[in-house]
Amino acid sequence: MQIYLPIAELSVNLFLIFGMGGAVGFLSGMFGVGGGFLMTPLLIFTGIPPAVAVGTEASQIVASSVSGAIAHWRRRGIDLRLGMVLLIGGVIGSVAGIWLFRLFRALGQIDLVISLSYVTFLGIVGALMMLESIRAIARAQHGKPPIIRRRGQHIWVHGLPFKMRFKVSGIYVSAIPVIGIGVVVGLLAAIMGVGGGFVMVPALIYILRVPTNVVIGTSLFQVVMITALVTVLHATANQTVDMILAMILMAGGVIGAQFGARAGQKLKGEQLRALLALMVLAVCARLAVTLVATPDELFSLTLERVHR
Amino acid sequence: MSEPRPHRRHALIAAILIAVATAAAPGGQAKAERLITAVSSDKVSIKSTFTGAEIVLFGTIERDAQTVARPRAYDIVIVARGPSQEIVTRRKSRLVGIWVNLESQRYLNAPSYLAILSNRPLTEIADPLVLSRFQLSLAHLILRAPRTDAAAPTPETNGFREALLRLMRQRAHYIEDPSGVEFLSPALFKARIPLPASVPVGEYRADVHLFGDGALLARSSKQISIRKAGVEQLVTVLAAEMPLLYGLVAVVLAIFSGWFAGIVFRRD
Repeated sequence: MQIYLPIAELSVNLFLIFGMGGAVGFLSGMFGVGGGFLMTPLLIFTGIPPAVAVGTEASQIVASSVSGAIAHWRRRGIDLRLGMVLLIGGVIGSVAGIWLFRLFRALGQIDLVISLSYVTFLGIVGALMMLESIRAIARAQHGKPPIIRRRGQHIWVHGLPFKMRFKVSGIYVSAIPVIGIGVVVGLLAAIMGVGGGFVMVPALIYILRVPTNVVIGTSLFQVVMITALVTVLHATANQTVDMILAMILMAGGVIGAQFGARAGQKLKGEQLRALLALMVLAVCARLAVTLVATPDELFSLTLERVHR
Repeated sequence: MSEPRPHRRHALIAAILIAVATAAAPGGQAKAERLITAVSSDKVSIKSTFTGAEIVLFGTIERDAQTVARPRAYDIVIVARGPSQEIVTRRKSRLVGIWVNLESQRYLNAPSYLAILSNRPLTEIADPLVLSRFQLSLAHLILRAPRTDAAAPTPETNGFREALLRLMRQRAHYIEDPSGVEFLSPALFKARIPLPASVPVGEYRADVHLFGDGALLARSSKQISIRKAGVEQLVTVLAAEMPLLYGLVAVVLAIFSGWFAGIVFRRD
């Protein structure tokens, strides 16, 4: 059944989009990630204009992250003070990101910027995750205990000024890296249409040394806030949020996520991470090929202002 | 609008034929041919199930006693045009191993939709000068470009124009069909104007040109209005005119559906 998308201005197969939402929802439920990094490229591959894919995906991430955020809120798994400082950075990053998005769109380079950002970030994150999970699997096979990080271990971040105490996380750290992480995540959300959890979670763990029981909750809190802001910003600055498309994706996504979460419980943590890393690298490779391979059609059209 | 069912279509065609015939009946003092046309619908609504539409155009060629006898049959050329729009054509080139949009050409007034339908190949109907004067073929379509550097190749010759025409034809937004007009009798003709699902909304105009012996004898125009309707209309208007409210509604909707799903699928 075909359905017309009013903002994307094209007709798509309802079941295809619903199925994509479901499949990505399944994977995100299984791995506990937002899934934006899979959904946005998939939408682009289906023929949705990249700008609409990014703007719309932001609103879908709000939906897929909000119930998790509420659950962590109930369990007191959110460091609100840390979340607020991250949010300051996030607002700066997403406003700057929207501005850059508009600029590159006007220059006709937004598709390239989106693809390059994806290849870069997915390449780095996928490779790191792969290495880490291979090591973990190897350790498990040799019967060695996993390496436990010592708390209070100092790295360069701890030498920075403007220190703040975050009681819930039990850390005493400069506000500069916290805001910095927020800025990066805000930029990624605005330009790539992702929640940024895949950058935020490792950054909180490895740079800020936030204990794992508040990492996911705080990250989800930040993701919901930033993608909500990015949705409003894309809607006002670029008019690229397609509500009909978002609703189909949300419906598919929430259902898929429930089955994914059940499937995920049957797999071991390091296997899950290796699988996720493989998927991240596959999407990265697919996008890299489109950047490098000689295209069949060198020309492209951008339809601008209609004289009505 | 979807494809009408066969019995409805027959009723529609009959109604149009009657309309055309009655319109043709009152006698005037016309010395030359007169062209009377009608379209199957002058309003197309784009709803959520829109997958494209087809406008059927009918026409008759009216003659009276004083009209000069034509040794050869008439020819019809229909030009259906959507609202014009700015189109940027970009060309990718390799830059440090990556394909990047480097050169571009902007066109200020390209039609967003253009269908040129005729009963036989255009070059057989009239000579290139006439086709060019009335822009009756894609080859003669005038695309206005902003003034560029005099030394640079002109927008006409640097390959961008051909690319624009080719890509618009691939999307079925530009159509040139030399068998798109069908004569049902020597004076009665019919044409189908196909509108793909991705047509831009706006005011469309179908100009019907009557040719005899390579000369333009008469012209007639019909307006067709393409509008979004229902939810699609609401979404489009809200997104364009109240973008802040639209963004907030999108967020509230997302929060609600996420929260609702969390409750429905709660596992404890």
